[in-house]
Amino acid sequence: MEKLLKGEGLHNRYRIAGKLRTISPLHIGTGEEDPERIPRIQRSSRQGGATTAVQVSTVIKAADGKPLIPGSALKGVMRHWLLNVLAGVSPEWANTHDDEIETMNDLTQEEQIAKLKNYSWLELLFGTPFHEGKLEAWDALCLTPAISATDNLLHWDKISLTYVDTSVAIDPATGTAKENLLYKAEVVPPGVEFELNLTGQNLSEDELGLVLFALQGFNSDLYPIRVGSRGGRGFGRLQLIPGPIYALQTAAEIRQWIAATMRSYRTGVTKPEEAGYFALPILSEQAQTSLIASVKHKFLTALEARP
Amino acid sequence: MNAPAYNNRIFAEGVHGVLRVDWRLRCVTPLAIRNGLTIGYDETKINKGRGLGVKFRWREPEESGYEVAILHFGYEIADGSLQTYHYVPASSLRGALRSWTINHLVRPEFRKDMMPPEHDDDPEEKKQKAYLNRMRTALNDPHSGYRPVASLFGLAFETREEARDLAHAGRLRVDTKRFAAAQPRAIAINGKLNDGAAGPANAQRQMTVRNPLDRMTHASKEGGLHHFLEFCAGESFAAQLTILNPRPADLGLLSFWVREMNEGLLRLGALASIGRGRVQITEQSYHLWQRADLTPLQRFESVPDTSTGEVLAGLWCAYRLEAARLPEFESSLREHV
Repeated sequence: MEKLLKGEGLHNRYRIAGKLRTISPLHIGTGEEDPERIPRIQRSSRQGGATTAVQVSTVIKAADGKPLIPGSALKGVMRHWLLNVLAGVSPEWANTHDDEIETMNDLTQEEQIAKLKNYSWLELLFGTPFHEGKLEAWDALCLTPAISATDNLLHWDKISLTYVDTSVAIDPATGTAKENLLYKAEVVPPGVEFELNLTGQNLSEDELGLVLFALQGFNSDLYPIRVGSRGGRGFGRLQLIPGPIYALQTAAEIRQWIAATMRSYRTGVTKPEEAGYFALPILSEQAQTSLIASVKHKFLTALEARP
Repeated sequence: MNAPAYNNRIFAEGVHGVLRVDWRLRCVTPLAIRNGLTIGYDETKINKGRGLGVKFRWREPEESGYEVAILHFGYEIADGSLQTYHYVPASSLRGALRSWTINHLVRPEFRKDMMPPEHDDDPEEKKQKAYLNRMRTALNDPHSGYRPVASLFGLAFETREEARDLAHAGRLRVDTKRFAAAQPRAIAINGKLNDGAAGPANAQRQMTVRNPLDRMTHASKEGGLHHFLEFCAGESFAAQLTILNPRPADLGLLSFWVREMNEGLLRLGALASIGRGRVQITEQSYHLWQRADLTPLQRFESVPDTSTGEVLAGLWCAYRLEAARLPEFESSLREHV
């Protein structure tokens, strides 16, 4: 299949569903702090007796107050992982052209498209400053219901499913805690589940294989994908629990799907499985395994071809 | 000839291999990893048997009650409920390794003022720039000892634009597992186990008391008596260190870390000066996975890849180092000092 951009007609479309479950603490921060997240500290009369607000770095939450994993974060870590794993394999698979931004601006759109078609599969899939990628990652919403705690020592919040973790920096020279470097952050604990949804359009078999390969990176024991901050100290591990992959792969399938959906509207009988995504054919596990194996074989071939 | 300036693009070639270090650490002495919190307890007066009438309450202490400083713990959601567990945070282990490395590898003239400046009312920009310049000087000197530290543990700065040529993530990842729950799980007081439940039950703890004396009167300082919990000697936990794109010098450092921990010179947690925090590495293994086209580090032997479901299997090949050969890498550090 030739290299296609997302807007070059509708040739195929995929929706990859699943779950992501935290297996280590998770902190995807907002960049802001909340002085009311935990009760103010009451100073002793010797210290003036005033109350002091404690700043707590907060995690990103949805409108319902539950934590979420932004689609941008998911897409970003997958791209980052692929680039790291494939950087030395072949520029055909993974490369960056950030240094060409200025020269690309001087080209016509046709010239830009022609140049993009020579970019790596990774860039075509995830996008560049000059074209929208073909992979969409939806915000992963939290599936775990509210849970209460029997103690409030770590300021557990049953709606946001977070507690407050405290860290301190130790000065190597003195061996003592560095002043003003005690900091607190909200943390999502292990065991919280999020709904994963990725969609892809006009994907070649290699690109689909690349996406499936990257998703397995969450479950890698050797070099796992980590999300959020503090990855160097154990945070950010997620377990991927695969769900179905809905696939519209050919023009005939697309026509059939549209016809079935329109028919269900005309008859007024709309069952979930007869319309929309849920009427889509499902990519078998065997096909998924085969796609991953195919791209890995091509990676190895590319490695062997290196001078 | 001037040495080349520090190159912070340590991932320019991507990640082509990982060294996986698995340790089991056993507490030789009690271990105090705190979280700054206290809980309350009641004490029933009993004629004999100090501490036998203690009843812990796993919540914040009441104003007029007794309190004891507790240990680090976390939450997890399992079986539909929120559960607690004790563990040594990876940041504790990582921080201890980093501090030891700075104090033993970095030349003394480069150790001073190597912490980021505090946020205060004084002109911060000037302090940040001075700190940045000190770091740049240390990193551009290939014999300062700072390069292995920076490469493994990473470098971060507030002045991101000016530090673009220095800042980078580290190659070392540290993960720790929860305590193994090998011993009775109650809190011991004066050698006797307390029956009451108090928080996470996956590690044996003991309650210890300290009482500072006034230097002049040699009498007890008023209000100085305090109690704290600590993990008992004998408790153990697993730790995993992952080093991306490993180098021989990394293994040299690992050898020193293992030796210093086993000798009691590299300790974890608080109160090291009163004998806490000594651990022994009772199990250790070193495995390397590296991209198929690359030559592995010396002294590593090829082994069958027995991983199941690993997406990188086949792309990366597996190797193993006999733990006894780890010290052979220590000389690799010479070029950095």
